[in-house]
Amino acid sequence: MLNNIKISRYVKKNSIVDKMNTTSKLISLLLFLTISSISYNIYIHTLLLFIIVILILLSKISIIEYLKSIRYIVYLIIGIFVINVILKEEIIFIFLNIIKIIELVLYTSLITLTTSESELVYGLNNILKPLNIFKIRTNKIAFILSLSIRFIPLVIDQLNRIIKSLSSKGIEFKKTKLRNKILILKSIIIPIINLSLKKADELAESMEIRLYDVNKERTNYKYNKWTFLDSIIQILFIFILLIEVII
Amino acid sequence: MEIKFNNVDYSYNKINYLEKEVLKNINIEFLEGKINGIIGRSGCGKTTLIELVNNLLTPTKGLIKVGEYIIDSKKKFENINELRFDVSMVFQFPEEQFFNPTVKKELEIILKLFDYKLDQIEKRIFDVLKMVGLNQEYLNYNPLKLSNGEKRKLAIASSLIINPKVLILDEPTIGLDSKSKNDLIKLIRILKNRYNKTIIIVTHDIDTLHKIADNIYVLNDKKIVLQGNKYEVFKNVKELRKYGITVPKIIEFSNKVLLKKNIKIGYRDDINDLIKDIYRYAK
Amino acid sequence: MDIIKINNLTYSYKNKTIFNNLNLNIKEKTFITLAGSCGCGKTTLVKILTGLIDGNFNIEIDKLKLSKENIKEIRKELGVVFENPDNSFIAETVEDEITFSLENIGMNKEEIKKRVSKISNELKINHLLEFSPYSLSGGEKQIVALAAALVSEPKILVLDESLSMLDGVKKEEIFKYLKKLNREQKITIINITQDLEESIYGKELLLINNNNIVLYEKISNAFNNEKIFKECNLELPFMALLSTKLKYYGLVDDIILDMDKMVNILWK
Repeated sequence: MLNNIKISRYVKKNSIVDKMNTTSKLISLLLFLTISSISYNIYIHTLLLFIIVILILLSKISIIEYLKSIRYIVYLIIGIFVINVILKEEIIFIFLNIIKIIELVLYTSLITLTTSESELVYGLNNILKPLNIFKIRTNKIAFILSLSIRFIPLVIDQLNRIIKSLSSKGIEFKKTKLRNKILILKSIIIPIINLSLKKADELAESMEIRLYDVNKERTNYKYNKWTFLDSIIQILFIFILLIEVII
Repeated sequence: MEIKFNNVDYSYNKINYLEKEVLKNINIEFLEGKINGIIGRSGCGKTTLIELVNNLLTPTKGLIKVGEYIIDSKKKFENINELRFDVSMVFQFPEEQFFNPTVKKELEIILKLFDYKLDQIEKRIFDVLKMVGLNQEYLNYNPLKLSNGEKRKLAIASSLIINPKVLILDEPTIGLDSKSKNDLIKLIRILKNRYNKTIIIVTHDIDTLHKIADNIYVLNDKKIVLQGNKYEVFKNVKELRKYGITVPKIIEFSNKVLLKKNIKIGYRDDINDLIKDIYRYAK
Repeated sequence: MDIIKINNLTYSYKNKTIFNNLNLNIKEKTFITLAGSCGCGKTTLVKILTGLIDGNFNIEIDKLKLSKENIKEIRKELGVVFENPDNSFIAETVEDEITFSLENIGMNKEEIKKRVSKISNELKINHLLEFSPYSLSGGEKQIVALAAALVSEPKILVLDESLSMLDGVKKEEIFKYLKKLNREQKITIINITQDLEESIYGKELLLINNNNIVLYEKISNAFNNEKIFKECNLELPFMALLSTKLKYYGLVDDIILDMDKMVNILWK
């Protein structure tokens, strides 16, 4: 069995958050980010954090996964802290900036952990649909995106196969000299691209035979319907946004 | 070079931290200098078993003795590269692992990575091509443009080039036509008889395996459920069906005659021998 | 009625002649095994029939002329499974993989649900529906690919060496299922393979050697001439080979393909 490389962080838990409509999730992300970035009101941010905590609990995904995302930006946070101190900004300003970044990361994680790749692409497609007025073929953009997502793991997998084959002949990739590493990588790149293109070709043929048509409207079997939680979230965010703008 | 499994378990953790057991309590020994076949349902862990032999995977419990090397689940195994000089593996669909523009370069690269001298490289390549039955003129061909049978031979050649004592083959006959299969059978026999290599084959091509194997190991539900020489194993027609395996037709026939007519016509490899038996008993 | 009519098919690829004036008619509702020496010709034929290779061909599929205008209708009637299932998986789960072709034709969700349920029950893959296709074993992948082709209930099923990774008992089950499908649902099945043991489940055998048809017979008559098979680098199925040799010794009169029958004849 091949190493199953995933670039998606989706964890299937069938939680209420999982079942939310994807377009609505993406719209809520936009609203959330808008509120978070324009507001410097501590009460609003407290409210936003409170909402995040509730959603995290509803998502049934371990808090450790969320903390992993924060780990990636720890240096960014430290950097911002240092810059702000140098610029002699007020402590509360610094504090809110850091909170904003954390909110951004947490809410984005919320979406990516509870939505599969294909759902995300489908939701994105729906959001971009208004652009069709300007004659931009949004379904093709979504299609190209989903193909790229499909292909990156395959290319990495191909690379892994070759390295595995070399290691079973006694060449431990990690331990080889740099000179030899370069020799191997240099030789591998073109065949991998070749093989990936060949696979892409066969994949395209398989899709064509099964009557895939980018231009036609397809049924989406798995697509989530608009749920109650979607309505609550949207109304809540719009409400908060209005408050922020008015006050 | 003895290969022995002592109380070996193997499991891996899936993403959601749920442990998945693949092999449990494996206690077998592969016969040195012989052709050992591993069979079992699709997905039962055959590939995992062989990846434990050359340490692509480490057992979660137990000990594996490969010649003078001991792979212990409790310690880190230090001599991976040395082990793999002696135990070489040819993967499924090896044609997907060629990455050099000529046969010569494909065979050279391993030796170059081990800093072999140029004249040694030339000689090794010459020898190994002869071993697998490929003409020297193949050196300049593009590996991807060879026929399936030739690709397989090249893949085996590139595993033989470091002169291992043990050769492991994962589904070597898949996708080959009749002639290429027969060539492969001849090659494997030569490797055993002339070059004294120990061969381990994982396959579901029972008919091919029947022609060459000495010993068979049957894997089912994480355990080895049957092992022994091929006649001992294959005569258990009904039991093997439970494990998803159909025996070679030549054995199935003799078995049927025994069960239905109570006549023992012997289990054979070659159909001509079977015909002689039938002729003797059919009067 | 002939469901596929191929007239004067001539095709070359990179200076190599693959077909030279090939004429072939395949009967409706047959279960035919297609075998031959070189692998390249057979897959090329499948690609031509499915419209993946362009050209001016005089081919009729289910009374439709093979052309750019008709190709969509033709593809609705054809279910094709290629050899390497890895190169046809596009979905994240097995269930999505199976529903793919139905989604493309805009079928409604309830009907899709029924069809998926039916095919996964028949092929016994219910327990695999939530998995990623890439995480399955070789045999399981091939069965999923078969399910994805059959779910659209095509009139013609083409299998291009697509059951090669199945192990013994599973292969028997699948072929028995295909035989039933052919008999009851009247689906025309074309099985391209190197393993002539598979041909015993079918009704007809077609052998191609050096761009020519060298044999096109009913299964009961197909194995009388051992020489043709040798020339094609193909091994006779065990029972056919056994019968041929026993005929030589005068122990049987005919090619007998059923093992039980043979045992009873030899020891009355």
